[in-house]
Amino acid sequence: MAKLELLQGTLDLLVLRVLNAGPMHGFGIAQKIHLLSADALRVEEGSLYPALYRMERKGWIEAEWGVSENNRRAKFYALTKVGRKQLAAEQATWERLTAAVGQVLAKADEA
Amino acid sequence: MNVFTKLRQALRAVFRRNQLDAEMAEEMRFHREAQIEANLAAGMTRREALRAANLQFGPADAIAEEGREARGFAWLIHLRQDLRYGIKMLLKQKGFTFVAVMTLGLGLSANITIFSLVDVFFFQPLKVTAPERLVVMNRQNPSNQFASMFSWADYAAYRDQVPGLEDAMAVLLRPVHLAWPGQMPHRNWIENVSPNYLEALGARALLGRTFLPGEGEKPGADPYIVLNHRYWADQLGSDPGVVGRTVAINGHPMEVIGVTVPEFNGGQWGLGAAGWVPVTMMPTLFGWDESMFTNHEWSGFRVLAHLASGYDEARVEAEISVVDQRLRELHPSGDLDQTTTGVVREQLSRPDPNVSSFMPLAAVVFMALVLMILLIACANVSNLLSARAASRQRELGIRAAVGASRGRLTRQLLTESVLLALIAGAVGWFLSDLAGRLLSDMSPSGDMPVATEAVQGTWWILAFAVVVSLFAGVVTGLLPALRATRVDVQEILKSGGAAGGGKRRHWLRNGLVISQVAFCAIVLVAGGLFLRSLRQAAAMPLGFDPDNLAIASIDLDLQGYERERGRTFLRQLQDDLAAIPGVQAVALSNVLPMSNSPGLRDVSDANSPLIAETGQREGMLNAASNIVDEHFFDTLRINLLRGRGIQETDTVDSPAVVVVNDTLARRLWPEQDAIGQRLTSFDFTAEVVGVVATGKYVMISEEDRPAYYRPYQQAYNQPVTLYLRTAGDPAAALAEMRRVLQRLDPELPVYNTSTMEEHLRSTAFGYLPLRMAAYLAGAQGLVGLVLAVMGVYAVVAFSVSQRTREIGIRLALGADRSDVFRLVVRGGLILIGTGLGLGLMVALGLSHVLAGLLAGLNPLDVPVFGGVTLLLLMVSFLACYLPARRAMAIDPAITLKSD
Repeated sequence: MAKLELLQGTLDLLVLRVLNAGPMHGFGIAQKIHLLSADALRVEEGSLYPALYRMERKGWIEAEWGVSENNRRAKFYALTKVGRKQLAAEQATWERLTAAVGQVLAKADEA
Repeated sequence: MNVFTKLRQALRAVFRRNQLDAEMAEEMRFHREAQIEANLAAGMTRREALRAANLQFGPADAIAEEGREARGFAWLIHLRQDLRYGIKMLLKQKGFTFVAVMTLGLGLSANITIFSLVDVFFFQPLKVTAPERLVVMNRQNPSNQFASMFSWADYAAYRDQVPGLEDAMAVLLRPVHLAWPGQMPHRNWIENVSPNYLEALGARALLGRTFLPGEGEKPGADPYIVLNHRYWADQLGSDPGVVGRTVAINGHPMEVIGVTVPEFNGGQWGLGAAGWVPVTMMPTLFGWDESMFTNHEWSGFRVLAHLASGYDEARVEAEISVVDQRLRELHPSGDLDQTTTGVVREQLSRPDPNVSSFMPLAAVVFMALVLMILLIACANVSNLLSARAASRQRELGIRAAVGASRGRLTRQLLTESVLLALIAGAVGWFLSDLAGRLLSDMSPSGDMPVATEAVQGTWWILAFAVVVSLFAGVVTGLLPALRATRVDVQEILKSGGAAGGGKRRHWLRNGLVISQVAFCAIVLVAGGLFLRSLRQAAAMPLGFDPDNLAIASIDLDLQGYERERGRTFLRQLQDDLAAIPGVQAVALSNVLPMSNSPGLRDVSDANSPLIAETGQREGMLNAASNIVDEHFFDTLRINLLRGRGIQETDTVDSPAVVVVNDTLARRLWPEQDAIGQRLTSFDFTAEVVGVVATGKYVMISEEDRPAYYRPYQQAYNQPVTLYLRTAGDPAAALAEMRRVLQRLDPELPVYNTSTMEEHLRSTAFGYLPLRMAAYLAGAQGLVGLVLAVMGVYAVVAFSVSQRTREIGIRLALGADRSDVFRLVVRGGLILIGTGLGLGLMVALGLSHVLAGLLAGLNPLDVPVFGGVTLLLLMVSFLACYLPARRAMAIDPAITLKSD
């Protein structure tokens, strides 16, 4: 199966979107992205955790220790109010970007 | 996010780092384990699941490092780590640390000391109201080097007609005799000031009061003095009951109305008067006519003012020139034609507007020299650090291997060198404090009340010290750090940490030595040139023989002697002084050479035509004047070239005569005999009867200056200086001279009591400035030399230790030990020679600049350049000699076996 490289900056968007559904631990976030992308995207741990800490520092997400599905201690991340706004903004940007790129791809021959 | 959240995060990041790290580790462990479980669930064997998880996860340490950085405030954490680690390293290598700290400390202390001096001279504002707007009026006459002072009438015109000048003040510093009831009179100086002076400068009274509005307006009406805190503390023992007491100034009772606060010291930098009296008391105190306030020729006032808001120098000067034009029309005989009037910011007018243009250049030269010293020190320590970094390759390699980035390693090394430099800065601060105290002792002596600000550590200098230390730390550490961290991890780990060499590193080290030697040569040459200039100034003919001369000055006018009594007193005094055993001759004059009363006058040929508009004569010349007795030329051994000297028969009743110097004679009467010509100034006309050799009159470094002498009997004037030519040590005659004066008038204050040689050495107009420059530059040169020698030694020694194996092989192959010696020394000498060549070239440029500053200096001074070359070669040879000896002693058997 072909692996896709994540575009610069899209990791933040994906993480925020996944957390929008409810608090989740780091492994869960990675799994969910993997599943939702139908195995096309794999988040490297080496990028995931630094990204999480960075977003925590910016106040987009907050972390709390809780208990996982299999009864283990795990750190759960949740969106904050700022994070929700950030998600909306990044999602809008992303949609505009993809729409624009799509348009160029579709109509490049017509002009 | 607000500031507090940020701050809390920062504190948490730094101080709860361990907890956060532990949490991070736990989080990742959970992740790994969850991954394993997922893999097992997907049907992998346990072994496969573990392997896959490990592969996926990647190097945990690197992630942790990145995670930490993403957490924010990584630099703070790193700084803490780096500092801790740095301190550990510095403590571990105490010898290295000591040498490095002392080397940098020397360089830094030189910088801090010079900067403190520059600060005192240029940056410390006077402690007065709005010092940044305070300006000094300056009237420059292009025909002589001295700015002329202002008449009260001119001052009043500027005060009333120049809106750009706010609180225009006038002040005139004068010597006086102060007599407290029941005490002997003593000589001191007071400032005679316009009524607004103290108020405008913001002087507050510690005791009593300052002048009230309306005081100081009417001549003779306000016999009040406000005492300077310094005088009150030093001379009156801080007597709390001084207000209301009466002091006799020149015999006139004056009431003490107040004492100023200690911070206040008047409006002229570097001078400290005993107190302030209203200018309207001057006719009373000095027996002058009240016309001094209306006569535009009666000048002597220094004028200060604040620039009005919205004004700069140019705008005020435009207004001033309008007033000058008006003054010129009203009073055509004034000296305004010859001069231009301007304003100078007070801080730029120090120590005196006459020499202030030269001061910044001198400051820049000195700052440049000390910066070079600092660079030498940095180069040395840089070298040491490079050598040490080479031995730390393995440590750095390992840290790089576990994920430390190059920037991170560079930062670690830089932290260490900056730490080193800051410790050195503290040492330098301490050393410069010592040096500052030594320098403060070297203040000029003389009759003027000098109040140099102590060279002391202010926050401003402290800030400079910190900045320059940080600078030194970065300069020192940057190159070695960049070099050391350019590591090939694989290579280092494989080779087991042997020091990496390479041509590049060699070049760096060699370059450092070359520049060090070059810098040192420059600094030494500069020091040598100052010393030479001092020697040359000392060898310059003074026009008189200063050896075996004792001097003392008195002012009979201030003690209330009228003319006839004064003459009698002086005659008696000279007879009694001549009777002192060992005294060969006694003379007196009005002006003491190289003192602060230059006695400059405009003179011209009495026959030269008058210029109608100005009332002045054509071909006017500014000349040093003196009034001397008939023994003066003999006693001072001034050469009479033609005609005769002053004689006893030149009395009030005989024709007025004058003796001129060679320069004046040649300028006024070129290609004519000066004898028989008539010389005139505004208050006398006299026939030239003799020509004497030109000497030095006002400043030791002056160009040939016209001068003339009038007979004491025809031009009685005070003060007088007495000269005693002695057979032996003139110092011995001083005590006798005091005793004689004491016997003739126990109440008469005596000043300038010293030998002529001491007077010339310590007066600001004599050798003192040159001496200070020579000392400073000499000290700088010595420090530079020590540093350069250390650098050369370190490099040669290092290269010998690096080449031990090569030398061993050479010896094993049959090389002579003297060949090895020559090899090592030659290597060192090539570096030194290159550095020396470069340094001497720059020094040559510098000496051209200095030649413009220092009198009688030859830009290509062969003894100085030759001496510095020889000295550096000799010392460098010594620095090469020891390592070379060690190289000779290498045992080929041992070195070859050791591999």
